[in-house]
Amino acid sequence: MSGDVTQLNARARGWLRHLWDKATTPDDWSSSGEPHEWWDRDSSAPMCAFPRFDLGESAYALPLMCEVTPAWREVYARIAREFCERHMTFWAAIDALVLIGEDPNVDRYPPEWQIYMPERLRGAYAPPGWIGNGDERWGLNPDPIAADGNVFFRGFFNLLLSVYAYVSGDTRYHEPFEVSGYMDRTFTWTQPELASFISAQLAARPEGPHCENTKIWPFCVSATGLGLKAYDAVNGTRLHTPFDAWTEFAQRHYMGRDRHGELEWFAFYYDPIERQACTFPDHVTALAPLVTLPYLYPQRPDWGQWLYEQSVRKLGWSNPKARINQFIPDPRAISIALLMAHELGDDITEARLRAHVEERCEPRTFGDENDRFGFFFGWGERYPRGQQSALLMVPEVGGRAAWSRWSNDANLSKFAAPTVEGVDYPSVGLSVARNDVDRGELLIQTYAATRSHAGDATSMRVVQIPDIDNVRITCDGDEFTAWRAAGPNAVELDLTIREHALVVRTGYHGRGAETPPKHAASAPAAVATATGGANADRSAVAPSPGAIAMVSSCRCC
Amino acid sequence: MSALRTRIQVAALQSLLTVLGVLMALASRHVDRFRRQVTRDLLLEIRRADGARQQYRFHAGPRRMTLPRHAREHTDCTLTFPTARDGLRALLSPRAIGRIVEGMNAGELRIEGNAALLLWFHGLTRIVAPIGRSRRPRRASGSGVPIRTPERDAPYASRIIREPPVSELSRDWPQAWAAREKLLQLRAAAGERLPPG
Repeated sequence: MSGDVTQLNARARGWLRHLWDKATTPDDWSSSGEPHEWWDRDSSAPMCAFPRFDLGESAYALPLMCEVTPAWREVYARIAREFCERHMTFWAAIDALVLIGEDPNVDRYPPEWQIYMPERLRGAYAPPGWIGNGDERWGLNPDPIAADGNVFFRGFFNLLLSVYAYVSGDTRYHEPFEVSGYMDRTFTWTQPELASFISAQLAARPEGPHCENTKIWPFCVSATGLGLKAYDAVNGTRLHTPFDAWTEFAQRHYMGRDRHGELEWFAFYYDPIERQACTFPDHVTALAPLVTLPYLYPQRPDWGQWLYEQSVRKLGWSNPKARINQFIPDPRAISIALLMAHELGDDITEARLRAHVEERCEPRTFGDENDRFGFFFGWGERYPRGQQSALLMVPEVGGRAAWSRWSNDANLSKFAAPTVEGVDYPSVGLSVARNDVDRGELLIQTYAATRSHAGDATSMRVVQIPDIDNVRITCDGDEFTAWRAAGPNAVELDLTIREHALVVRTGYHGRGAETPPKHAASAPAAVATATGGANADRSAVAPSPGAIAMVSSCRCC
Repeated sequence: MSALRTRIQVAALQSLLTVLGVLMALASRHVDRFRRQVTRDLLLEIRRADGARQQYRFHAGPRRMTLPRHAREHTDCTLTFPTARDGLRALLSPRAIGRIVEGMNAGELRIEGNAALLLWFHGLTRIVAPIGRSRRPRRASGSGVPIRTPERDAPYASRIIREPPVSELSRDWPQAWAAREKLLQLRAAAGERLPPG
């Protein structure tokens, strides 16, 4: 379960196929329309029962997949772009745009939702998710981004835009785009403006900006911080700096330790107007820090690891002798605990939680050709539950520590390296696409992403080749000749759609300062030793079948 | 001797459960904070595996809680203690939920049905028997969480468009009203059954 992942496994390929469907199937997120039913607006209610959370969380697998196939990014870029475009619409900001003023239903919410309110306020207090835009204190903010509150809109949006930038290398959203607001008015933003707004506001409010009027969530402020960190990673800025002050503040005010120094309570959120923290009683308080960890840990690994260890111990999930109990009928906390156990290398807890997930969360393939994958949780629904599946896919797709790596140690060298483009996805996909800079080779594995298209002819290009005069290609171990030059630095390959293992000798050995970070250069050492082709003078030598066989070494196969 | 002790413990647990129920039933008549939280028809049960047993019935219409004379088979949530002693220890503890969690993890204590209801029920019991503490951030002077007002002076705030307060969504935006009705926030408040997850 550990180590670098070098190939998209079957589940990752099935999830990618489903994400492609969701992203590229047109639907209407305007005020006159309604998102397709596969967009999740039910999970983790009341706070996450809005479709934008599906947009944000479904994007989490994309940078991890991009780390597995850094030389094939166009599919992730397309999906992320479609997510970003939806995040600018009415339905993405629906809570801020229609849940206006005081909540008229404060004494009508079901008991399952009342546990997400401070005990003393239940029955007289708006639940999480009721933003109350337009209330007396804050006024009406027609722009869902520019507000004193609503950080759970702009913070997650900036994170999503940063995912797009990370997988695409494109600055599309540095140019103005329109965001839908109150009464269908539109507001113009760029991502640099958005990120600067968030950073300046966080600096001015070290306790954290609020989401609903008025609730400050460690969960959302942490996600906001991660968005800034990812933005900095791609753009070389330092907008994340104010997050450090928030972490200091949060440790003093949003959690408490007992006399032994153990975690005693953690605020799910804090309402500064009511001066009340929403906490869960006793051991169950651990659910609150857990859901924060995917965002907090990449930014403050010391604090994040401590919170993780405290949480899984309190809940009994790390105890091999204890049963795994979910405590509330929402699998989010278990999904995140699994994500974090995988991230941190807590093998015992990971094995226990994986077994629980396999048994209870109904992982299965589905779709026309049974080639999509997701988690159905035994709920009898037509599509996999979006938010919950997205969280469970993170440890399926990425290797150990992969989740925090993409925002901490951004692999930007991939944008200058030989890259595969023009892949006719979803007919054909690439499960391996990465450069071995030591050998100057691009390693590719193709597969039929749509099974009924297997055997059809297809083509794809390899671009950014330093010297196409010395290009040599093998396919499944044999010399491959069905290719031609397609410009000064590109070649085009003609293939049939099925599983192929290609090695393109590009002569690319990295570019000085753009030397890939350690993780990107983690092509299996066995490749270099088994081929015998890595001549000292790096002359073009056809790779051996052994090299081809080993490029796909991974935990899943 | 041990059989006698067990019988005493069972009787004590039964008494505790009944007294708790009577107090809660009274609260459901007279305490507004209690009544506002009774929003669904529910039946909860706390029992020992082979002895004490008490059901608590919540009525959303009159916002009352009653103690049924005759136990029903189907409940929305049942908490079963392995022994009366465990039940007494948990329910009288200032960290009742912690003890219940530990019992569940050890496999000795069972919750059937929706465990979230038990957390909600625990909150109701604390209205009549405020055992334990509510956690909140420290209020050390000068270091508490500040109460903010709308930001008008900071450079970033120049982007914030702040219009006069409104009490409800504009009636001139009918499509937004139609979309609003589809939100789970509104449907749940109207009594619609919650989707799983």
